[in-house]
Amino acid sequence: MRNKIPVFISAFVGIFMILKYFSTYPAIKRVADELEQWGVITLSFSIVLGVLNLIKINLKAVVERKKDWGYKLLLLVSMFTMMIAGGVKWYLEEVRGRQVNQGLPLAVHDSLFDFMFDHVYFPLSATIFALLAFYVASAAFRAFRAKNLHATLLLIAAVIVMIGRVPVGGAIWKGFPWLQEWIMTWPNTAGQRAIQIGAAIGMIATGLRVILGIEKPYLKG
Amino acid sequence: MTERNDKVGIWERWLSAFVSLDRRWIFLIVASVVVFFLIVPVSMPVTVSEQVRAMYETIEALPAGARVHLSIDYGPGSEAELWPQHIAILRQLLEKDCKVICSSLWTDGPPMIEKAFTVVVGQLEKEGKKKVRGVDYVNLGFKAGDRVAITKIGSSFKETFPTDYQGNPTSALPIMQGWDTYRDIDLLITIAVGDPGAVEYIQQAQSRYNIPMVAGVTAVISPQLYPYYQSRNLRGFLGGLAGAAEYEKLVGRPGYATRGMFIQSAVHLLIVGLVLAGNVAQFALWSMRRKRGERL
Repeated sequence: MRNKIPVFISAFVGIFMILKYFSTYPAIKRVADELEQWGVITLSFSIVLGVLNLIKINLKAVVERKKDWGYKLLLLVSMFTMMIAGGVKWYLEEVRGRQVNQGLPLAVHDSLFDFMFDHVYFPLSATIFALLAFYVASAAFRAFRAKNLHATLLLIAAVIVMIGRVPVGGAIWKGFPWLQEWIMTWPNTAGQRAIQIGAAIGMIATGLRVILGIEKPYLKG
Repeated sequence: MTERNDKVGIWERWLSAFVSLDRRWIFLIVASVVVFFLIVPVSMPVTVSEQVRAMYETIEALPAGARVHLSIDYGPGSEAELWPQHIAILRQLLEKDCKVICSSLWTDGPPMIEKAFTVVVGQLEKEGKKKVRGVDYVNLGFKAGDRVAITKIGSSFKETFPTDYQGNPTSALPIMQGWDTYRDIDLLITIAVGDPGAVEYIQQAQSRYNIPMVAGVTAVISPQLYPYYQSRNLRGFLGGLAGAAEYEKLVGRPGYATRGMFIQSAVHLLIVGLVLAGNVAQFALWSMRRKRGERL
């Protein structure tokens, strides 16, 4: 019974989601809409689950003074600070805002949350992303070596796209932007399409296996 | 050992050192180039690509009052590439008096929406064009659920977002009156960094409701969108900072992306130069070793 009920639920949901795509019958649409709403609510709970898991794992590491426990403590402190700041912003907009804005919430842009987002989270995230440029430069220098025919083709395509994609390419030779666009429009599109069609067929097969109860990934772990 | 060292000339030692150059030297060179061109700005003519022009023309063809769903699916991490696109597109939409309905599938998306509204609405107000929250634009906030959330948004905006980012009931907002599904939307735009993003919107919303769609994505995502542009699922798209610079040229307001173009050009040239030099050095090294009869 423990195995049969999940299989029945996944088959029921899967069939209705497929039927909604192909049918205009109102009853099917109503059931599928309701299931989508449940899906959104269930997935929202996964965020709560993720946060609880994060607290459990990191708190344990801090209490037991495991390796890098200081970073884990910092993570927990940062997470709770942002949570509290978010709660304060909600209070200012929902509770205080309604008192001064004829019963309607008010947009607040100078709360602690906004300060932390703009002056801590924003620059830190941007910095991490910017580091990619350095790693890409270093990795390209090491990896793009013409060791065989395939590597040489990759190297030539990469050089043309990298130069043709930026304005300096057109300034060096007018053909670079055209050549870059040709590579992206034809060989790249053909490759991407092949990958996407392959992935889609795989997804259909996996979907059918789940609906028919042949594959039960949700029962694992 | 000594005999081998005698055979290895100074050139070979130099080439060998260059081929296995410490990555910190590369980091230093990249940083120097970026800082130099930040201090000494150089402008470059930007050539507009076909897909960027197509995106511009799709938005330009919208009538005043057209409903546009602008999904902001990125956070501060990709601000360098996507913020210029976001600002240029939002300003064009509000200037054309479109009704802009913003939402996000990324947790850190809603504050980006708020920041962009503050900037663009502020700019327009200075020019005497007043835009009202809840009437001309709205921030519906974040919705969890990735692909499921997209299908749910498509079947009912008001059920998916019962309140906006500030907590106002969406059913009471003037901008939300008289419509509820993707069938009532004139254009779908996503500015996205990854998954969920443009591809997921095409699969779950554009193809299902057959709505016109355009997208702005990071340079690394843009190769994935070419098949969808060719099949006309996408009417046009912007790829990375270069796409944003092309768009800034079309809207006639060169900004952050246009200024960043020369820095990006310089770094691209530097990487290409390093790659080519690395290959030349590697070949020279191989040839020297082969001449000595060493196995490679």
